[in-house]
Amino acid sequence: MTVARARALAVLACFAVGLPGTAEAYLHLGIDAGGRTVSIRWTAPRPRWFASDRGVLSVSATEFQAEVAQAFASWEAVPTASIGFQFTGFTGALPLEDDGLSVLGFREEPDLDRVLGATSFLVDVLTSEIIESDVFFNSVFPWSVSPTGEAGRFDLRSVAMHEIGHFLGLGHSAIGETERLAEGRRRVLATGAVMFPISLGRGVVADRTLQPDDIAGASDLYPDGDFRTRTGAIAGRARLGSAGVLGAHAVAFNPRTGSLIAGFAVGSDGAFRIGGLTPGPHVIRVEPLDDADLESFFSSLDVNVDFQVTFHPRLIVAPAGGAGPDFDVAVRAK
Amino acid sequence: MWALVVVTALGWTAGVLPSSAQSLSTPVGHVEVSAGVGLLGGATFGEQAASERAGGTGDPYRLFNTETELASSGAFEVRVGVPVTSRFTLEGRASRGRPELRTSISGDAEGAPSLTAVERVDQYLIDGGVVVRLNEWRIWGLVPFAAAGAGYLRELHEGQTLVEDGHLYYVGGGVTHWFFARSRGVVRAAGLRADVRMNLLSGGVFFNDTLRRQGTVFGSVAVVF
Repeated sequence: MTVARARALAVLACFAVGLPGTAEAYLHLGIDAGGRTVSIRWTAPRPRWFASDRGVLSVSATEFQAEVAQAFASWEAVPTASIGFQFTGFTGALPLEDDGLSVLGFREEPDLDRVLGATSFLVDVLTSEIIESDVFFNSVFPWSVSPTGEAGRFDLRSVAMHEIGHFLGLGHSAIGETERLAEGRRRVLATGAVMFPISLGRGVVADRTLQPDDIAGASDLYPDGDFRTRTGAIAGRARLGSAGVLGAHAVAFNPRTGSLIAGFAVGSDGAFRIGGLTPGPHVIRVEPLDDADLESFFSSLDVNVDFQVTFHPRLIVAPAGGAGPDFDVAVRAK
Repeated sequence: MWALVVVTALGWTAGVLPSSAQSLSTPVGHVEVSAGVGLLGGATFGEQAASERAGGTGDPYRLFNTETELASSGAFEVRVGVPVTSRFTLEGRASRGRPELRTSISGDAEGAPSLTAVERVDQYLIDGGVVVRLNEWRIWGLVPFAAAGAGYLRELHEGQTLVEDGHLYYVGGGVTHWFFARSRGVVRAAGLRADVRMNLLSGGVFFNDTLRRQGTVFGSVAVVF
């Protein structure tokens, strides 16, 4: 078996990510397979995971396992996705070790002083199957398992929800707004996805609930039943003058349901495709990818962020089981 | 189902109603056909905010706001009616309009200019009901009538990529003015007809399961065969 290890730093971390050939609403983690990027995913039925037997001051190992199990259950409950994992037991092994076990647990990483957690993978590069995945939660931060949150502490389950999204093979979502602070830091104004790369902050438990963009991303990677026939897609192109806008972030808003689901222009032609949409008309908003570090989304793309936020003047209809006609969104330089 | 029942009823009654059963105020004949144009009223679908969760609290954070409406539009219609008695007529109707679905976008948190995003909707209504001729209220050559019924709504989004079905109920009324009426010949009467209706629509492109109201005004040319 040919395997390669790829580390995916999740929260507050620079994260190098590839793109699948048919990019849908969200980024999936991928590997290069002969010049083509292929999404990584679990293929084994109900892969097993272990919980580290090491707790921290405010969270025991048992509490840790219970919170992570709840986070897994939330992803498994997505009705349009076929996701299932099984807790096997506690282990003395630490996460991020190549030991054949998928381990989730605390680990002290003082050098990663802006990283709440991270996910790593062992992947079969021939089949793109995930063989092993570890998640660590940085024990240098204060943690909480309080259902309503605890001031000054990060909610363990919220961060687990994000990391388990990576564990599934999901990349980061860019549905979120931030403002820049000193020393390269950012303050989160808002997020519309659990998979946004920056935490909502201490004491906040809002990321315990998956958002439409998260659900669409998981369902696209692990579709269940008639997901692809019951949902629709839109396909468009962001252009500045006659040139495509590489890295443009396109958000589809459904004025009937209020859902926000997004995609990226991953080619030089500015083409994007957003899938997993409830059939019906959508408002299309195209924005520069400037609310998180670009490395959180793309590793090697020359992304254009020098244009204005733009709404498309037409409502774009996502038909059930397919995509409507292509359309162009003309943006203007800042 | 209702439309099917009406069509069946029309087929059963056509050609068997004696002309002597008709009132003098209503031209005698077996089938009344009318075609015309009119106006479909609009409907407001309400506001919907594009919301995220705010940092630090998780409370709703408005990225932008939207307000959606189905605009009023022109339409044309065709009706076929068969008198059952001098007072009552069974009538079937089909109409087509092309209103715009408009979503006004405002208050973008990152300063994007406000605009109204639109799409064209093809709206088809096929309905059937009862028309009550109020011959005794005839005045200045105008014969008033009242009508009520139900039917089928079919709305197609722009590009006809998505069909949304629904149904309607309606009440209304109007007047007919006959230019001539005779008891012999292929064409027994011809005149003008004005209709005002209140449709109660459910389904279609509407955003929730409640009934939406739609006022309509039509004028048509009517011919009795």
